[in-house]
Amino acid sequence: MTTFIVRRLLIGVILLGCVAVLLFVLQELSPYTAADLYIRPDFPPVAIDQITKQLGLDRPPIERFGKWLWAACQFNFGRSLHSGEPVSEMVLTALPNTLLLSVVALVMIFVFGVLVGVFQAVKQYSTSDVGLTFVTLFFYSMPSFWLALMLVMIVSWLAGGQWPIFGMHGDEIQIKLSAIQEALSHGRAPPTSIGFFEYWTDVGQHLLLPAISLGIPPIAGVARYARSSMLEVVTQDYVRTARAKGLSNRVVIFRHALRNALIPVITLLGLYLPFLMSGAVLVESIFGWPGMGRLIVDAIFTMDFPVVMATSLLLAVLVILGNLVADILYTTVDPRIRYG
Amino acid sequence: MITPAFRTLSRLAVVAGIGLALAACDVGKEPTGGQDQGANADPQTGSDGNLHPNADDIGDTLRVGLRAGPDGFLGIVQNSATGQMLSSLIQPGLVDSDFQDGKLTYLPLLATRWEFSQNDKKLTFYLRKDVTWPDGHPITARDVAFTIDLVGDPEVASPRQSSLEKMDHEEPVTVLDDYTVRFNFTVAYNHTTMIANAASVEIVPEHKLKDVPRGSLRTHPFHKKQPFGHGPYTLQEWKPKESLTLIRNPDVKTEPPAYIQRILIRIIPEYQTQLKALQNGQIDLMEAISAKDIDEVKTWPDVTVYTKGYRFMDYIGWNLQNDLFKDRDVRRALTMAIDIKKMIRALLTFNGHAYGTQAYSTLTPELTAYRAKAPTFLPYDPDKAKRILRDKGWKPGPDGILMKDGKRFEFKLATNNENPRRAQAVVMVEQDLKKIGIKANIEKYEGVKFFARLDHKQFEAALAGWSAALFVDPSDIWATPTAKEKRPFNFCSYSNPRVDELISKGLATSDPEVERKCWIEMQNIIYEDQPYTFLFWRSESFACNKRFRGIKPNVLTTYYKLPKWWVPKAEHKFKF
Repeated sequence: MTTFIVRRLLIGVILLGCVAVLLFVLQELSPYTAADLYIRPDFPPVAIDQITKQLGLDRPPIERFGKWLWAACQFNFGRSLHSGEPVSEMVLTALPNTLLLSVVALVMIFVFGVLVGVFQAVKQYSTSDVGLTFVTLFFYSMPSFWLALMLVMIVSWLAGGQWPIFGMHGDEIQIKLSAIQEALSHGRAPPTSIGFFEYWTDVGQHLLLPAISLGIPPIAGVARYARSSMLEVVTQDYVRTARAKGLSNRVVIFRHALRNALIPVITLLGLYLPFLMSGAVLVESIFGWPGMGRLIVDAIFTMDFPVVMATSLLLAVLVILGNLVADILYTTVDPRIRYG
Repeated sequence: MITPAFRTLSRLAVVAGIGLALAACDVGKEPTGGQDQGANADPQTGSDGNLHPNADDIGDTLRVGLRAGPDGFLGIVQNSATGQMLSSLIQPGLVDSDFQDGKLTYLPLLATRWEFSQNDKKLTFYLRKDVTWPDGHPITARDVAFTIDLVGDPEVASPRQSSLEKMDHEEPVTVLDDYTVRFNFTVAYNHTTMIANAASVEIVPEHKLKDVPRGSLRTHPFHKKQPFGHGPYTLQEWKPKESLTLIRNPDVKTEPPAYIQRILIRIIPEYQTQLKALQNGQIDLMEAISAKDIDEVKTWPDVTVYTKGYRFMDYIGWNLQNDLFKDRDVRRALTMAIDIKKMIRALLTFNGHAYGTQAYSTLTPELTAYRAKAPTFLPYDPDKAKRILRDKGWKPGPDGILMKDGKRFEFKLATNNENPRRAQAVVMVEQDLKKIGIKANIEKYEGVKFFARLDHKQFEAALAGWSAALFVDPSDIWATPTAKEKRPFNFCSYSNPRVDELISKGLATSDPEVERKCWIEMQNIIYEDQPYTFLFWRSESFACNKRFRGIKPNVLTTYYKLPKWWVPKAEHKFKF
């Protein structure tokens, strides 16, 4: 197993190198650069030339790529061409927010996806099965950004405008934090305080709608996998034996059948994490969630080469790690599978 | 498989869910932060019959929804409209601008007064002596000179460097004493523009920045995290892509301290989410309300809609280097074939309210001094357009498309794809031109690429827009490019010697009447030449929660006189 993991990681490093070269070549094929962002009536053209030099965009491509690659090997991804901030800082600020959102969505997808799939398998061809198929496919075919917009409208209406629909923190928390900070900076006692539960409840409330938007559409995909996998497993001899022994349906399904039915579903687990990270792009924009999705989109539109490279490589790392995690989980779930 | 751990987690999840739902009952309850202490906080009614604030009304928080945050706070290098607005609150400049009665004027701020020399080529500012930086260092004329030096330094690559074009390159600024600074111009011109060029940039502290490598100002903490200012607000916190908090500065000297204690800017990229947040009361102010939504927003009980003047125009630019558009009469025919009034009705008129007006030139109609009286627009007359084109040799081909010497009247009409109004406008133009036998193939580009294509003149025709300045300098758009002056915003390659003369004369005179005549004649000539089909000016509207008083919409900015906005104490939503 160790050899397998090491081999996969080494292949991953080579893959990352290829991804970096490909991204750079694609960027260079564009006739436009980050300096073109400054083309505006009130921006003198001479300043655009100066900014081009300041950003190093006038250097030969091979020199720029070489410098970037050398720095990247030392985990220094340079500064954003647009904002001037260190790219690693930008990513470290945005990444936890997207990970939080993605993990919550992932848990939702798999928990509900598996439960729905198992239920449909157990009640195959019943009215519930057909109904759930309709509902899950309805949501599966719905773009996450459209669901996000609908949730904003519907929840605003249902909750009378009281449920948060944007951002990661509410005004109450932000203003309290601001008042506390202001008082402390002037040597005064803070006029208020924020409890742990209050803070994380606030985050949780802001997290709910984006997580639902991101999580609900893929549930159908997981449910279909789980359903067909479970249907295959429940016809196996050992399951028939378990029933013959007089075990309850719940024990048969959840203790004997589910574990084997989960094997193909686990394949998806590793693939969904990078999918969620990139799929969060639109959802984060709609809900104003300050995560990687927005960082990536803004970087692409502003031709911010260092940020695009860093975030794309990060996504590539997640795909590689996600696949590796899925393969390792296989061996956990199915002892028959062993890697040389 | 159901394991004990799974059972525990499930129960925790249920408890957390109930907790969230219960806690939701507390969200949005007002007021927050403690009970009203019962102070007698009635605002005073002034002799003008209007309510005026008093010291008790200081407080509350203005929550603003914006689609993008600033790129930084240092006025000399920042590059966004949001950044400029914030810079003006944190680090005001020598003067404050105002726009009243169709004219841009200036009011004292860091400078108490200013005067022109007899030949109008020297402009002297006299600074206040009681203003300091936050560290106690006085703000002096040396800071002003240092700021101008940075603006003019190529290493800084400041977007403001064009404001120094008409200043003495050797010595643009002279420090006469600690609180007197003189700007040295090489030519005298419109006084308002001269003051704009000298005094519009925010002053920076010499003692803090003199040793900073000039090429690294864009990454300096003053620009990114800790702007150093003396304005009515200070930056407390900036979380990029999330929020920004400004705190009232009670020690400001250049103007009375602000009333609103805090400005909390929330970054909400999606327009619909912003609108919903405004309706829900989760933000107080939203800019750029789309014309189609204004009437609905007006029905919301807690919100007032304000409409500013005309600052934005849309036009079709014809690339005059393209053979199809070289002939002036052909361009005039194209304009006559496009129903601009119908476009305004379809795109900018809702429930009988028109939020746009037909455009005559690139000078905003708000500049009433330069507005031609009763401009004569080309009529919408497709039949006449056809006749003009026929006289020019354009005859219908076998498929109905006009042809001349074997060449079809077919071209690409480009626009940027993020703008829904332009997306509709470009289709309307295509349909109108089709009726007279002209084929316009629509091409849409992402914004940066679209403007780069215009800049590189890689287009045939383009439907684009301008945001108008409130002082007049049409040279970049309309003057003929030379080896020395590239005029990169003359996308269409327009050239008219008489227009060049008028621009030179208008920019070189300080006589308002001479200037006015130059601009009026210039506009008339350009309209006759039709390098653009001028479409429309559109007004911009913003909405704010009703509890905020003192808001006076002005074409200058949504945040006009923001430090004077206030909320009666009894209506404060946030007590901290």
